[in-house]
Amino acid sequence: MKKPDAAYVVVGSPDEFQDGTPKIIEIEDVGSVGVVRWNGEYYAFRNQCPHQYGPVGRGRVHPAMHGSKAGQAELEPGPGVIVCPWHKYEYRLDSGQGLRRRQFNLEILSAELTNGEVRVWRRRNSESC
Amino acid sequence: MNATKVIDCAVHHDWDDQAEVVQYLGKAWKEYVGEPGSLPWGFGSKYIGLDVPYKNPTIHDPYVSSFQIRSDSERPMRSVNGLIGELDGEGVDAGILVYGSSMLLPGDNNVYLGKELISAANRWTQEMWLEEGQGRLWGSILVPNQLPVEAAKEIRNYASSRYMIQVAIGANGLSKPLGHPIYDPIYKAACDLGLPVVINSFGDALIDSLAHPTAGGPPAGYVESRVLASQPLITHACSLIAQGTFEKFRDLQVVLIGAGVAWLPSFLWRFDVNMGAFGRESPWLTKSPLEYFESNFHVCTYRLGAVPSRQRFELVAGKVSTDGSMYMYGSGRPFADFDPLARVREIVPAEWHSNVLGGSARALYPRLSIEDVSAPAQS
Repeated sequence: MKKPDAAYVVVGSPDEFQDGTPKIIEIEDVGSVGVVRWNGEYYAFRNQCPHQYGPVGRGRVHPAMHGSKAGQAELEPGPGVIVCPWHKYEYRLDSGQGLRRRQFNLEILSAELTNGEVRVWRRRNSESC
Repeated sequence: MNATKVIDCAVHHDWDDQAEVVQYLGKAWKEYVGEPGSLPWGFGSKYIGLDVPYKNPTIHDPYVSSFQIRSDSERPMRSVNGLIGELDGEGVDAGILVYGSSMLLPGDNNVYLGKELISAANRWTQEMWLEEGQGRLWGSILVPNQLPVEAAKEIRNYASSRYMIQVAIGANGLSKPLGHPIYDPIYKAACDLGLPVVINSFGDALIDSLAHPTAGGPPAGYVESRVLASQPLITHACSLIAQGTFEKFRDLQVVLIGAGVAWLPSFLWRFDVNMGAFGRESPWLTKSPLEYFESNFHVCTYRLGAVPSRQRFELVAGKVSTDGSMYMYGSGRPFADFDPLARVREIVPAEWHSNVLGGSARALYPRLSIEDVSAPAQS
C-alpha cells in the first residue's frame, strides 16, 4: 500500500501504464484508486462507481461520444470517459461528471507525470459535480 | 371563483353512415368507392373503414369493429347534437375529437385512397362537427402518415383553422416506431404551427399492417388487447425520445391516449437507467428520458381502468407528475370502456382536478379557448 506524503503518492513509471487501461493502486487513508493514461495525460479516480459501488477502475477508457444533432455520432477530443464494467456508466476523466446520468459523479484525484514519476494528489471534485 | 371548465380530451367521434365522409371525396374517388345500393341487395359501395381483429365480445355484429358500437344508447353520439347532449349530461364543457373508425384510415395499404379518405375525414370533422359544435368541440388533423410529405401538407391546410388544435397520427401504416426520422415532416409541420401530436394506442391494432399492438405477437382477443394497451405507447414514446425527435423539434408536444397512466413509472425508470448505461447509442440526447417526458408529453387519463382507489392512483401517477399537470382528462366516449367524469373526479386527487380536468389542456393547446376558464394551477 502506498502511503501518502504531504503532497502526493508515486504510483509508477510511464512504462507501467497501458493507454486506456487503469492501474489499481491502494493508497493509505485514501483507499483503492484507479490511475490511467489517456491521450498523453494521466488521470486518477476513486475505484468505486457512484452508481452501485462497482470496481470502475476495472473498466476501460473510451472517447466521449456526443451528437451535435439527432442521428450523428461524434467523438470528443481530449479527456475520455472511464466506463464502469458493471453497468457501463460513463464518467469524464477530467471532472468525474457522469456523462448520461448527471446525478452520479466519480470522485477524482489529480495525477501527473513529473520527472519520470506518475504522481497522484488528492483533491475534491468541482462543486458542479 | 370560477369553476374549472372540464375538457374531455379523448372523444372518439364517428360516422353513423360512411356516406357522411364519402361526400367529401373528389368525383373520381367517389366513383371508385361506389354508391350503396347501386348493386343488388344493397351492395355497390366499398367499406371505407379498416378493421381490427379485437371485437368487443358484447357486440355480436361481425361487421362492426370494436370502435363501432351500434347500440341504441351509443348511436346518439354519432351526431354533433347527440354528443353535445352527452357532454351536457355529465357536466363536461368541451370535447376534443380524436376519431373513432377514421383513426384507422392511415393504415390503408392503398395509400392514395387512404390519403383521400383522410382529407375527406378532416373536412367532415371540420364542417359536420366542429363548425356545428356550438364552440364546444375541437378537433384533430388526421394525417396520411405513410406519406409524410403529404401529411405535412394536410396539416398546413388547417394552419388557420380555429378548431383544429392538434395532429392525430392514427393507425401505424408504415409499421415503424414513431421516432423514426421518416416521420420528421409531420413533426416539423406540427411544430411550425404549434400543434401537439396525439398518438392513440389502438392505432397499432390493425391487421393490415406489420406493427402489432403487442410485443411477442398479436393477442388472441379483446381482453388481452385492452390489458396490453400501453405497449404501443411505450414503443412510440421510447422511439421519439431515443431517436432525438425532441432535439430536432424541441417544442414538439405529444399526447398519449388509450392506456391510462399507471404504466408510466416503470417505463420511465427503466428508460432512465438504461439510457444512463447505454446512452452511447443515442449520443445526441442532451437530457434524460424522464426530462424529455416531462417537457414534451401529456397523457390522457383514458382508460383509468379498475383503479381501486384515489390513494393507489396518486401513489402511482404521482411518481411522474406530482401535481397532475402532465395528465389530461379523457373519457374515451363512446367506447364501451369509457371513463365517466364522476369516476375520474373520484379517483384523481382533488388538488389535481384543476389541472387534470381542464387546466393542463388549456396550457397545452394554444388554439383552445373557453371563456372564463380558471388559470391552470401552478406546480
